[in-house]
Amino acid sequence: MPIRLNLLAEARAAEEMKRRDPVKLAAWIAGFVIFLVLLWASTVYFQVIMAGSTLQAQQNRWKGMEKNFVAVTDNTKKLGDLQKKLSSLYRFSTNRFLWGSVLNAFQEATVDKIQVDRFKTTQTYLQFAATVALTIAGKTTPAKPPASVEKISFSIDAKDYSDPSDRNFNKFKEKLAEAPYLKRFFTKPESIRLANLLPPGVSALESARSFQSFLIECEFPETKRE
Amino acid sequence: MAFPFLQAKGKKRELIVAIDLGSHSSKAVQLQRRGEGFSLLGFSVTEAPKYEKGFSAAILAEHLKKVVEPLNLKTKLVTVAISVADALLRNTELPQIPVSEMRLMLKLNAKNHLQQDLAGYTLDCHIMPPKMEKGPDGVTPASKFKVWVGGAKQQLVADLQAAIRTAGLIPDQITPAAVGPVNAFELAYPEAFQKDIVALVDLGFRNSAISILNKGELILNRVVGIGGDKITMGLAESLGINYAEAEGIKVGMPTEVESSLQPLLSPLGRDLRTSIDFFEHQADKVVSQVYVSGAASRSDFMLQALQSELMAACQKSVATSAFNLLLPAEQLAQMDQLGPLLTSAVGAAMTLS
Repeated sequence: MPIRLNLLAEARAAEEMKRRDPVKLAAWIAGFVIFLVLLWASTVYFQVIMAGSTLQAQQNRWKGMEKNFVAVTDNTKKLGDLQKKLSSLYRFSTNRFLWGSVLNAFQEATVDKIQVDRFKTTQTYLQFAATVALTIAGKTTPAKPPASVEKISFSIDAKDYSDPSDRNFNKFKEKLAEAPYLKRFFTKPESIRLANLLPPGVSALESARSFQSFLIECEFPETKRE
Repeated sequence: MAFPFLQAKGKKRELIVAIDLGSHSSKAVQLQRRGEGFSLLGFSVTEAPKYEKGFSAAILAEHLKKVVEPLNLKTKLVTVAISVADALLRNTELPQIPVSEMRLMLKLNAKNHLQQDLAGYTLDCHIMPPKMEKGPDGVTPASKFKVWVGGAKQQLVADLQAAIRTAGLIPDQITPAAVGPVNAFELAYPEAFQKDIVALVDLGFRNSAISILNKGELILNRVVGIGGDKITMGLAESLGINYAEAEGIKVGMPTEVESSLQPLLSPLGRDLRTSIDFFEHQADKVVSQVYVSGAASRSDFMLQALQSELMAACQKSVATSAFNLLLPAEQLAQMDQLGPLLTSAVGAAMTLS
């Protein structure tokens, strides 16, 4: 084997050591990492600029479309309201209270010696305007749409010509309450009540017959419509 | 540990250019690897520059350009051998540590290991392949490495690198020229290198060097401060002629001035013999053959004179004999005359083989 002596070996070893210096290597790696971070940051910055530009373009486009959009939205809202009203009207027309069935039930609930003098119906609507949401002292009251409450009742003025001890007016009241059609409405005891009962009296025309005047009031459940 | 002899060899270089910067002339060779052998593609012998105002990298760079010009270089990587006057070669024993640590150890404590203060030197080490030692417990590996240390002044190495670069070349290796004859001998005479105990004498212009090899192991290396220049000057003085005439007579018809040359060669022979005697007494072995290289080895008279002084058979060492010569016709004709001068350059090139 030839004798190998290279007087440059020392300098090359020093160079190699310098090249492999961990601090230098770490500095290179750190530099590379910083470069990557800067590259990434610049990429992100570029993306932000691009996104900003796109956003600006979209905002300009939106501004151009906004007038139409507002008009369309208003129209859509109006249309919605109209459809809602139409729907409510349709519902109202199809679900309106039918007095025929009540009168039919009434005629089937007759009791002997009870003479009906007057049959009075009342159909009222309470209207509630729409309210906006309100926040008072941290408590928020939600907005409410306009609504109406339908109140239907009828009253019967009648005379009971039976023996007062028979108390036929009660039978009449019970028969009304148990009439198949009315039964489903008068679920509560207060729905049908004897509102007035006068003391027995004598008819001016027929003095031989005594009677007792009474008033029965019947109230249907309230129907709320929005 | 990363010892060079344990490491796998890297890819071998295809083209090798080596330059031996001598005192009188610079020699360069360009070799090409051919399988296990080499082809000599070209060589040049160029007179060394004269530094009238001290060493100058610019002058050396110009000189290097002239040296490599005839070679038609196919590579820019060059190995440069520094003459024995400028580079040292020492042997020592060092603990089994990596070469890099050896260099550091020697740098910090050169006086202890090399008996010389080498501040401002750049060093390199070559570990001789360890041999098994016979001990009381049988054969064990040697506890220390035999190491050959080469060195030169850092400033010189830096100047050389600068000059090489200025010349448009790339410094691949800078090596002491003293290892050249040994490496060249291993290449040219592999059998004698492995089996014999031989002395290699390189007769230079200002200095001569002797290396003693014991069956492939470099045992001793000495530099003698006598070279061809001193002999020529002595001859000119004794004959009362000028230097050029004396050089012509020394080379052309030395037998005519034998009586004048003999006393001039005796100190050289004596110094070389002293080194051989030292080895023979130390190792209790006899040097069987002396191989002579350098300019003076071309003269049969010089070989005869050295043989009689050294009392050992002397023969010319022709390093280029191992090469397949792919030289231009002009260089091929000069090969016999200039071949022996190329020993150190060839040996320097072999450090890359």
